[in-house]
Amino acid sequence: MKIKKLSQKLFRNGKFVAVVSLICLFAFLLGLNQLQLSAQKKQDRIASPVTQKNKVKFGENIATDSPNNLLKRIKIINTLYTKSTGKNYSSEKIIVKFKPELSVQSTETILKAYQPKAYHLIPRVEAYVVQVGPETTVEETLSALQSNPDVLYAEPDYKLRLCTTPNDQLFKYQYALSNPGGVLQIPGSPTGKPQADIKITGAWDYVKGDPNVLVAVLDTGVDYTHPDLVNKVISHGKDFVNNDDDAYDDQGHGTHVAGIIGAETNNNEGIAGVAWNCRILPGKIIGADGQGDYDWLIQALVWAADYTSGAAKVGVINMSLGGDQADPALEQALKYAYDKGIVLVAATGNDGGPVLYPAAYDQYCLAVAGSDYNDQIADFSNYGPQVDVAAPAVWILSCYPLALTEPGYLPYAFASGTSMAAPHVAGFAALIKSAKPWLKVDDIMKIIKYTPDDIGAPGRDDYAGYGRINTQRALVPYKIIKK
Amino acid sequence: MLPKLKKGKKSSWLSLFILLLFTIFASQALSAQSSNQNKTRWEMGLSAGLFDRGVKAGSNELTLKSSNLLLEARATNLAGWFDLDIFAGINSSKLNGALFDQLPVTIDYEAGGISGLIFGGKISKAFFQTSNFKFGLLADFTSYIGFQKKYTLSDFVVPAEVKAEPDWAQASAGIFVTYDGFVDNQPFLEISFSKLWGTFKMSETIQDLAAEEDKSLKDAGPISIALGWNINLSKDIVFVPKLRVYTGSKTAISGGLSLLYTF
Repeated sequence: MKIKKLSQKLFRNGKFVAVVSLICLFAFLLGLNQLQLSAQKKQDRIASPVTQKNKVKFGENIATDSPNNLLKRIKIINTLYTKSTGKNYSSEKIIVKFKPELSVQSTETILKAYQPKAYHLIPRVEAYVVQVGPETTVEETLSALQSNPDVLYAEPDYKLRLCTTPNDQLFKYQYALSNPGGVLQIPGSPTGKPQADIKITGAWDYVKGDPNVLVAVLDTGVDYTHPDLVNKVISHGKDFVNNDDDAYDDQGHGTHVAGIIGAETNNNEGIAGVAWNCRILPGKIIGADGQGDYDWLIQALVWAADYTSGAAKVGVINMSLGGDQADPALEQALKYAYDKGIVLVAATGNDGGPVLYPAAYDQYCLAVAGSDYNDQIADFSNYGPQVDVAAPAVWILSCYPLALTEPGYLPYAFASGTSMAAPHVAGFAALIKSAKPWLKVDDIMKIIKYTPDDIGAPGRDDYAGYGRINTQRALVPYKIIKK
Repeated sequence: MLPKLKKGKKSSWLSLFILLLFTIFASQALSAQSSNQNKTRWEMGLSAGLFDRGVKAGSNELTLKSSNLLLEARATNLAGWFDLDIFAGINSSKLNGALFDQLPVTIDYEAGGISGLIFGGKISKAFFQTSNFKFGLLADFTSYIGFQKKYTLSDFVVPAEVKAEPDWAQASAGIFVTYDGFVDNQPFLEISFSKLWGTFKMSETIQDLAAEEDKSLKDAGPISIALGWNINLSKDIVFVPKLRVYTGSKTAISGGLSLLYTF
């Protein structure tokens, strides 16, 4: 009786009807907007007008185009990912690991006492990624956890940043692979030193790579529809940023990195990749804003280390990114991948400062500094005792996502940064792994470290490590001749 | 660090056979020594030879080129029963083209001969004789032990070197025929089943990266045919040129000259 009276009263009141109508209208508009966004995303990946236009452009015979005209049609990316001014860790998440003697039930009971919004366990590393509750801050929870005797360690979920400045196309523009010297056909047309390159053409006579050796690119994802990558990417990978199985690149960096490692080679178009026949496994751990969290990298390392597809498995992981802080969970994930026989390659960073993590984990990672077309160390390249080798990092041409390519441009870009140096080394490691699969990770790391061309100060130094990599010295049989 | 390559299947049965023959001949000789002592003729001298033989080193085929200078002692009709030839000397063995692709940095060996010691022996016994021809059995064994040789890998940014160390052995058993129709010289023909085996060891050290690979050596073909001539230059001096051809390789040929003094 009371309910009937109440409803009659409400319906007599026109305000209620108006509010309900407004809510419905708002929901409808929101739904429409989501539908449009979803359709746009799909179109961008498969057949956006930009993509189609560029596909047509890309199919043309660009060999007849003059070098100057061609250069104008290649994008130049001038963003150098250096240290940001804000907080260097997530304001929502922390990484915590409990003492191993505690059961999962006990650790979760302890965790719940801190009233987290959510948490999940990273397998193999056995550390929790904890999203702090609305009533507290990361700092407060961290402080409380760090004073808990059951906690082995509790760390902020640090931020990662990209170590590159991509730029883009064609072998004659890839001085990093084969430097003829003289005036180079790259932006600014600088004069290069002959053979200031990784000497890959000589190495390819002996090793072109094994398709079952995968190089995991943990980055912004990869444009797996790119004509120079479509046959080289083994799967759509995993997106740790959006937590799905589609590591499509919405930023450009990962596609550029993947192209340096494994762009389809000898296919009459585009560029050549270092690891001619090896394939790419994309893992997206950096968002469109160029930033990512440590926990995504940690999870991606474990995922990549465990990944298999038929006879194919990951032999090399490239990390053209880094953060300022050490992190025990990150170190543990690196160790997990290392112990599984995977060569870990990371960029040193572009701040002209100390080597970033994970590259600074010297025991597990090859830390790669950046050099230029004259075998000089790039001024942006980070340095320190952890630097192992250097590789070309200035105006490196590689693939660029179709969806991000502007009309009139080719889906390639020139870019600079240690992010571009690391994939040269990752491709090199994949070739060694292909040629000599019985070698241990440590042996492959030593081969890469001990075979470069010494640049900079004589002997190993903190800027170039042992020098700029020389793939030929490591992969071409060394001929002992009578003297 | 690396799985060592298995050595090639050695012809141990052949060695045993030769040893057996040797033992039989020696025991026969000793038993007959007293009655036939006067008939033994001793010769001693120098011998130089070149030796090319096709060998398989893992998956690649190459030619073992060897040259040697030997001190040789020959006893004819030892104990009235068989002939014995023993030798020892220095040898240079060249295994150019051996590819050590299991090492961290692959090594292509093209550095020529490696010196070493060589020694061995040969026994032969004639069993059947016509007016001018003599037929018999023979067996021989040769062993070469190469000295370790170091090479610096000069282009590396860190200290780098390799050490090469070859060794090989060869054993043969077969028949011979000699022609005794000439007054002061005696041509002969030998047809043998000959096996060669050995290893070519390469150790690589690049800073703290060290590895070793043993390349097993095996003959490319087991049959050898030799034509030689015992030429008596004087009453006491014998000159023996000899040419041998092996099956299984175009370059499988060897030749030697011996100058022996009879006393």
